[in-house]
Amino acid sequence: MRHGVKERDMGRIDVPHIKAPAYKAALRAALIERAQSLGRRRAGFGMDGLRMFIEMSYMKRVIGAGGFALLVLGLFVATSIVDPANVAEAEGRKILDRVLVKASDLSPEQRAIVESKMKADLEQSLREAKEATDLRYISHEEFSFATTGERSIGKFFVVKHKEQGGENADQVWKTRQGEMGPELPGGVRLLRYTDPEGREVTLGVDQDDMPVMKVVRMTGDMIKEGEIDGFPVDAAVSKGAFLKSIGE
Amino acid sequence: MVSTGIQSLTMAHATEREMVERAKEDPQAFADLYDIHFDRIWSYVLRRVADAEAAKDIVAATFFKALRGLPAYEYRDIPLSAWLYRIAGNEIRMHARKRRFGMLSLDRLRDDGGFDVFGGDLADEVEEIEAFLERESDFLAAQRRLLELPHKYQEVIALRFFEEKKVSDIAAILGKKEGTVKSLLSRGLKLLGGGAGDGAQPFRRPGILKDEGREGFNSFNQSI
Repeated sequence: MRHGVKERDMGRIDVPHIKAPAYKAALRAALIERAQSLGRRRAGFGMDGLRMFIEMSYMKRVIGAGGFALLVLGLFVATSIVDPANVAEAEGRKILDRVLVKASDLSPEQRAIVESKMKADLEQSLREAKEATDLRYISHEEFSFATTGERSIGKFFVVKHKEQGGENADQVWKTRQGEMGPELPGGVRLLRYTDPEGREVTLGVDQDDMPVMKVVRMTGDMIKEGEIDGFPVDAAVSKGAFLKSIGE
Repeated sequence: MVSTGIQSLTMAHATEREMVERAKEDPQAFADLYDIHFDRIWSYVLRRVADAEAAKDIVAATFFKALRGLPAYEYRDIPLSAWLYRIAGNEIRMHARKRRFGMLSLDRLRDDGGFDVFGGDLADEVEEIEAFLERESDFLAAQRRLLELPHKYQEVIALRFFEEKKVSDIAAILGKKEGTVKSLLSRGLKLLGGGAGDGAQPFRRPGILKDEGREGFNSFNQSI
């Protein structure tokens, strides 16, 4: 069996020490010149890039141009993408501002008509919306979401105005897995916010910037016997009866 | 004593780090680094290729690439020399490949952004170096045998025995673990002696080189 070269044999080799002073000096000078040139080149990168492009072969030019186009496209897409949450918030505020302007011009009679439509206190609702920190515009699809399957989530009902209590049982909108709430009028825009009670509220606003509905999302533990949303909705409706009425 | 050594090493690193940072902006600072490192890189390359003209090209390419790559270089307590050795090693590898396929030329070097180095005494100096090398027959014999090995073994053996680097230094230069370096050294030495395996071609028998007039090879071979 052969053992190859031993380390001590290699260590015995007399390694030459050859200097190259003339070359060292010449290369030094060339490198300094090159370093200065590189510094200038970095400063004038744009022109240099153009010159490089012109001097490229056809294939390299095609690849280079393609790469550059992709870069520009990427930058365009990156700058075009705006956080959807910010857009929804801005849109929500814009709609609410218009509603507030319109609502301030309403006569008492007109206001009563609006409140009968939306079945809620107009002033209170708009104040809640204005003060809410999470007001945003939502789509019809987002409004008609399916429940997660948990019993306590996804039950909707229309909050009736205090003075109009007693008829809410058939106003209850149920949204269970696979089921949608009632169909919304096409032109209605939806604003969503969280009210001071921590409930998720959706305001429907028609094309004339007038509120037409108010929907409060309730969970089971928010529903107290004999009342919904704190309103005397129907003396006969207990929590159990309410849950039963929506099929739970 | 040990702590003094560590302190001086730390100071050396700190100084070199500062020099590197300056060299990123200032050509003169790069020239200072060049002055410090030229001799060792030149010697390493010349010993690896045993060809003054080739060594010139490789060293020029090494320092040019270092100059160009310096802005992106981050000093991580590994000496700058390790980085330069690594660049030089790659350039040697490329040089060998190009030579094998007949592609090496100064034009290519220029195309890659290299440059020509002019100087009145350069041709004379090359001749002197070649003549000097010719007299180092033992070394040349070992070097030529080394060239027969796969590149990974050439590198570790040259760094260990020609440049007298410690295993830890070689590991830093090559970016490998010390265990790997030891293993490469061990296998490389086996192969250098004509041991089998690992894809290395067996060395040419002494007679072949003797025909080429490399008498020194015999004395080297006898020492194995």
